[in-house]
Amino acid sequence: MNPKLTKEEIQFIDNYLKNSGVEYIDTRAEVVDHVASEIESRLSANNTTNFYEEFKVYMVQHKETLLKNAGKYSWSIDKKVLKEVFKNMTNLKVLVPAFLIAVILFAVDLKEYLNSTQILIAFYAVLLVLAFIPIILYRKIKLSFLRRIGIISTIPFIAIHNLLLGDRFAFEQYEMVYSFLFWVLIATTYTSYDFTQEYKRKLELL
Amino acid sequence: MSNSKLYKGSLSTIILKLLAENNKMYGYEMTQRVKELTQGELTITEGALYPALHKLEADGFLEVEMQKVDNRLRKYYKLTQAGTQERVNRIEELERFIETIQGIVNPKPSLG
Repeated sequence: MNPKLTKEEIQFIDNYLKNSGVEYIDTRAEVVDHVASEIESRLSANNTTNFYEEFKVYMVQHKETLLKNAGKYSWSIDKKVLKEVFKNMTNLKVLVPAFLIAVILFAVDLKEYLNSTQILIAFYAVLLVLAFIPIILYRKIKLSFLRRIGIISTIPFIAIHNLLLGDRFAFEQYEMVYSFLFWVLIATTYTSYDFTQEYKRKLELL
Repeated sequence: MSNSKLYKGSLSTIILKLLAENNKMYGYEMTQRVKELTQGELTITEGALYPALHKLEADGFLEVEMQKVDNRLRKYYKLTQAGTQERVNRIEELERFIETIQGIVNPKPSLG
């Protein structure tokens, strides 16, 4: 049976990877386990207890592939995030607030109180603030999918907003356009919350 | 063989096959199992393995389970139903490919 690394040795590997640029906890956890398993196997094979020596030798041989690997995740994470956002669009916790917002948008005729520019600016500000909620709320939690959600929920969102509302016909239908945009944004925010809670539970295992 | 690029296109198939036979596995365990099965002829590097695992997960072929093991988190991968079907397809595809390559490398002598 292989010797097992102590909590301090595991923490050492984790800190080393963090300082080497493997920034996100979720991607780092898997790499830490891989490195720790290999070191344990080497300690047993070489019949030694010198963790630092084995770690140094391993890193000289593998650091390049380990770090190259850490930067390759984004597309699979994007795909996972998009699938989850799409799935959450039919979740009741998303549908209910999205429906209420749609009802308010259709019930209140903003054109009576505001001109088109004011409506555009008001919604632009509200949507932008909403899009940044996940980033602001979870800025201290370094999880890779949160960064991707941030990118997914802001850049295309602003583009769609500008594209649709630059068009007079689309603006005439602003209740429908904004109902849809709010629906997507609530699903994105809910997905960030859900993913973060799930990871917090997993990390509490430690 | 350890640095060969030949196996790269088959890495996902290898992962699906390993998981079909072992229910759930973690990354390091897969690298060791492949080394053992091939008597050290084939080495799967971390740089190739983890992106392949994450892609299979994003495609819905694998699901993940986290467990605390020896003071650290361990990520176990399991086949989903779609992954089980995908494994069958990919193994068939790989077998046809091997047959084709064999036909080129070792052509049967013609009787005529």
